[in-house]
Formats: sequence, structure tokens, C-alpha cells
Amino acid sequence: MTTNCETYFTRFLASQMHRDLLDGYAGLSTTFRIAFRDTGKSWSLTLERGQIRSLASDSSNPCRVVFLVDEPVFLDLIAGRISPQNAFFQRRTDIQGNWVEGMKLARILGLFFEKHPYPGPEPEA
Amino acid sequence: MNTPEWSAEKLRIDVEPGLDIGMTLGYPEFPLRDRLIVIFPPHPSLGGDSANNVVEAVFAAALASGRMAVKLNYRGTETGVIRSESALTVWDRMEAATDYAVVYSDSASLVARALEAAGPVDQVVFVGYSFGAYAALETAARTGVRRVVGISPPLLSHPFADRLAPGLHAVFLSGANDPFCPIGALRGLAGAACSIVELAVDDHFYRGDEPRVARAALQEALC
Repeated sequence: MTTNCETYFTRFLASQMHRDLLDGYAGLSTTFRIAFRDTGKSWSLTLERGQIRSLASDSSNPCRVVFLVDEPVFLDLIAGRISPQNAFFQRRTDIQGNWVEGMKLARILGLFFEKHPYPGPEPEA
Repeated sequence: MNTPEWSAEKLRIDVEPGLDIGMTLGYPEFPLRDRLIVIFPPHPSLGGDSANNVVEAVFAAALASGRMAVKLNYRGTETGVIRSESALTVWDRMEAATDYAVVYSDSASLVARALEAAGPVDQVVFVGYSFGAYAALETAARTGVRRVVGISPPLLSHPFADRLAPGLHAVFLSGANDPFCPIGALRGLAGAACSIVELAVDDHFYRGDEPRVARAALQEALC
């Protein structure tokens, strides 16, 4: 069964690839993974020049930053109901790898979630 | 429902034409006027604004002690934009140039405005967390403030030793496992120019330890 989180990556985020995530971040290039602690699933993303260039469900690619999160919390994040920073301060998420880059990326992703909140998949006709 | 025992007021100043910055002044009904506690947040790129967990904890602790307290913001942290540019881009540029002079100047202006609003106090004490510890030192040099409490100073990225001026009473608090503030480097700072307090905490972020670090910082601020 496809979860809301999978739909977010496979449909919503996939539709945002190869375009600027946000204005003013053309210098942003990194690799990161969202690792779901509760389901064991992972999604790896490559950002180049402020755009998502690759997006894959896997846990083997080396990434500079790994965000650890449970699916319900991730759904709150992408809906803009909680900021990544606050989730981190409340220990609802964690960061592995490059901390500085992870905190910066969390801030930028927070702006992206705010600008493009994901309310959930559209109901099928 | 309990009524808060203190009030808060948002204050704003224009720091440049077309650019204003805000801060929050909190005050108990009958504040003790021996100290005004001014709190400097971490670097905006690292989650630093006046809603930061440690900033909020120090603010609450200061108010609970009966003192007035101010939470500063830095340029762009409230809106995410500095004029028409993304705030984080501007901050990245400042970081690349290691030139935050406008931030220290902004902070000095905010402190002056906070003092106007707060009325007479015996002493102003700066409490800065992470990058805020360095911003507090720089702003102290611009405002004549003589007591600075720094929480987890990022010793690897900022020249703290160069800013420990004679007459300044600086105290730094940190844990043994803070990657941004290696305990050996912190111990190396201790001496005539400053003192250090070691805390038993996990890392740089004090998640779950906020009340403890806030109490420790406030204790040093009230010495």
C-alpha cells in the first residue's frame, strides 16, 4: 500500500524536480537522506544549484546529511504544521552526518514546506 | 487558566532605510532593576532566532527571577527576507566574508532601544548562545556592557580570545561533548580574562536540558 509519505516523494516532490526549490538558493548543492525510523524506509535526494536533481528510495547512497524522522512527524513537517527546527529542538527529528549543513538544510526545507505545504494526496475521482 | 506573571512587548527599530528589526522585551509587573538580561540567538542558518529553545529558556528563567529580559532578533530572521533577497543568502555571504559588522551594529541599536523602553537599570548583562555568544562580545565592545555570559561559544569559527577585553567579565558555559565548542579549547580560554562552567549535557543543542542550562546561565548573569 502506498503511504502519504511515499506519495509525497513519488508525486509531489517528483513534480518539483529540476526547478528552483526557492528563489535565491541557486548556490545550494548537497546530498541528503530522509530516513524513516518507524518504517525503515529511506529516500535519498541530490540537490544541485538549488534544484532537486535526483530522488530515489534507497538507504545505500552515501549522503552528507541524514534526517531521522517518523512518518507522522514528517507529515506535520511537509504540511507546514511544525518547522524543522522546532521538530529538532523537541527531539522529534534527528540529524546525522554534517550537523552544520543539516541545520542549514533544515532551515531551507522549512521555507520550502512553508511555501509549498502538502495537505495530503488528492482523493481519487 | 493561570495569568502570566509577566508581560511582553514587541519593539522594532529601523536599522537602515527600508530595513527594520524587532525584539521582545519581557517584564514582570514589578521588575527588579539590578539587571537587564539581553539574549543573543544563535546563527540564523543554524536555527537561530528569538524562538530558539535555549533563548526561550533563558528568557523565561530571567523573567521568573523577577528581572526584565530582551530577546533580540538578527536582520532577516523574522521574515526570511532582507530587502528583496533571501535572508539566508545574505547570511551565507556574511559568513563567507566572516564579516558580521552590520549584525553587531544592529544589536547595539536594539540594546539602546531596549534600554529606553526598560527604564533605568543598574547593569545590563548579555547572554549569548552559540554564535550569539560572539555577537554578545562584539556588541559589548560597542555598548560598554561589561558582563557577558556565553553558552556553547563556537570556538572553532570565531576568535573569542581576541575579544576578551580588559574590564570585561566573561563567563562561558558548555558541555564536554559539544562539537562546536571543544572542551579542551574552552578550558584553554579560561584564565584571567574569563571563567568557564562545564555542564553535563549531550551536545550543542541542549534538547531537553534547556531549563538546566538556563538556570546555570542566569546564575552567572546575576553574579
